[in-house]
Amino acid sequence: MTAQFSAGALAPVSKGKRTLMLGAAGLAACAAGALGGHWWLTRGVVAGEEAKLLAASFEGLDGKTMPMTTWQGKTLVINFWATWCGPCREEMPDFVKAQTEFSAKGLQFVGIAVDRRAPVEKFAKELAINYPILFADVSWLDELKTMGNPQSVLPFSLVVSPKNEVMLRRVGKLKYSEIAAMFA
Amino acid sequence: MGATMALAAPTQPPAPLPVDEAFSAVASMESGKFVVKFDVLPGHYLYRDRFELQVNGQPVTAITLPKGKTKNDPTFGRVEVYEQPMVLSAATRVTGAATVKVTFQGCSEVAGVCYPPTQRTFALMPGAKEVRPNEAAPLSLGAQFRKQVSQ
Repeated sequence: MTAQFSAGALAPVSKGKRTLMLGAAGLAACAAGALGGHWWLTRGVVAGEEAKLLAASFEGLDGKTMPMTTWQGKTLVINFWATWCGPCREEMPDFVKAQTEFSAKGLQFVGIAVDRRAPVEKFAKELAINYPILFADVSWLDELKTMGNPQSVLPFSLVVSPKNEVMLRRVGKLKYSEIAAMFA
Repeated sequence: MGATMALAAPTQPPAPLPVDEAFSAVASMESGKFVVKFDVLPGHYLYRDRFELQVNGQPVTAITLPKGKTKNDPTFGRVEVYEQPMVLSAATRVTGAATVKVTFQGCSEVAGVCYPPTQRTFALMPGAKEVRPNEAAPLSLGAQFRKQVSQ
């Protein structure tokens, strides 16, 4: 997981020197990926930081403030997203499907948009999002650095157990199959 | 009720780089214009329509940007992006010191994530060349290596 780049991700090479350098970079990246998976998963994570998030309140689409404790006791998927983020929009239909499929088993998605209200309202309507959408100030992106998202990128999801234990930190897309596996 | 297993992470894309490594920028103040060069690392892209420029606190709308590559984005449709190093410029009548703020937004194709809109500030004097932004940390050895192989 630590491999920053594989050689295949780079542009076509045109010089021998570059080929050698890319080969070295690829090998180093593979080695780092093999050795550093666990390190990456826990890199920069400060134990207990999620407590701040789980104790926070955010404004919802309807303008009312919702405390995150509303969903305590559920298996909570907290998904930070924005409409300007393509991968965020791509994964959300899966979340709608999973919410329908597994809500009876205790799954609860909560989308936290770091975005302006108007585009979020429009997108939520288009997608018929069936779980709560809340709004967070952009300063929350900094808070995510200590929760497993050191570059404050989106999408970012946390899966939290009914006992408030973090089961998964995901920088990037969360797949339907991964969610389904939790309830298999 | 509830999930019964700890999640085993499947094969995941590489971790995202710091934004200043993915899109390292330097600015210059040449005769009558500001020039900002972005080095876009392979596997990353910047959106052409998301650049903003401020000079000494004033928004500048007349920005010169090269033509980008048309990307058929699954969610945004056809958008212009830069997947290669690119140069932004803007004419100016400022003759003294200038504070130039550039806002940009991009994504990492390889990591499957997007960076939030990012603003970088350059303190420029007339004739200044290749000035790094105030906010950027010094480049790590790894970043210098990646920058070298991307050129």
